Amino acid sequence: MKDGPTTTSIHTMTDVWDAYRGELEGVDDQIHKNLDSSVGLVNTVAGHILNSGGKRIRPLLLVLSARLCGYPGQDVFALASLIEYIHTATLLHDDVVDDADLRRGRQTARKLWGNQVSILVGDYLYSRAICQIVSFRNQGINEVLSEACRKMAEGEVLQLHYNGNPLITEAEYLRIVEHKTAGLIAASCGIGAIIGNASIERQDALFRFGQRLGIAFQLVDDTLDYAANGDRLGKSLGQDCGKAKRRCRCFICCNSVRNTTGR
Amino acid sequence: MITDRMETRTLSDTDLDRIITLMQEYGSITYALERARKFVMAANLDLALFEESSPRRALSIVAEYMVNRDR
Repeated sequence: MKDGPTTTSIHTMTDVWDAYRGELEGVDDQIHKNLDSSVGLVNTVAGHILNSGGKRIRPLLLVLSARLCGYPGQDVFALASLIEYIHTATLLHDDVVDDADLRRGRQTARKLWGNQVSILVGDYLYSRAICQIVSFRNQGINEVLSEACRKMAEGEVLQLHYNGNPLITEAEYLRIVEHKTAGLIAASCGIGAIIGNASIERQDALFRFGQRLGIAFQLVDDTLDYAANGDRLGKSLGQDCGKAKRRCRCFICCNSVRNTTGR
Repeated sequence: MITDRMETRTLSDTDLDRIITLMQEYGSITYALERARKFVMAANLDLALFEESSPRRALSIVAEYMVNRDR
């Protein structure tokens, strides 16, 4: 591995993107290389969303965690690409559950090809990722990732259970977020630590780091829905509260407003 | 009002505007962002086990980015 960036050269998120651009290009190469289904429609639909300008935060966290733990090799690119596949599968399924028409300012796959195709291509991406992950023959990685997938599915069902219920408590909201969002982000950091042969203490620390980051990420995401400029978000303000499939993120407003005013 | 509209799935655009106004008025958004910042602070403490390095610095900056991003 060539010399990495120096500590003093990294001050902002732009510096991080610049410093690790080469690594992320390695991840992108793997993403495209593995999109090799013999069924053309699978590659078309998966490519539509995988090339829609996602920030690749999870792959970045996996690469950084592995490098932090001293792993110098290129297997991180394949592992990080598979994390992105799983994340993408959840987006395809989410857009069906939410009846979403727009994602990242573009028409959703379900809008273009229908719900059935979206669900099935999401299933394909999950399966493709699992096939590839087990080829690493690393039981630690298998366990972390399968547990993350279990938690994500559980979190989505829990969210559906509270759908449109403004009486959800903060603790319940955080439980959903920890499962559906933080699980995969924590797994990304944890897998980086595992492939880096870090001590159990350090693996746990990086996993916790990812978990807390994931919760913060979702809290901000839900808040931006009400506070940000709608054009920049690529969707309308309050969409998640106003859509027919309302999400429980309205807890932020409902609880604090109700507690303060009794309305 | 919010409870009724959400439970009966009759939230209009006017209701939504009213909710967003109430959220801003009562500091809901500020509260949620403050909670997010606390999670990021705790996350950064998890990195204390690792010696200073470029990846550690980058992870810390990614953590800050989580709460400072605007999209």
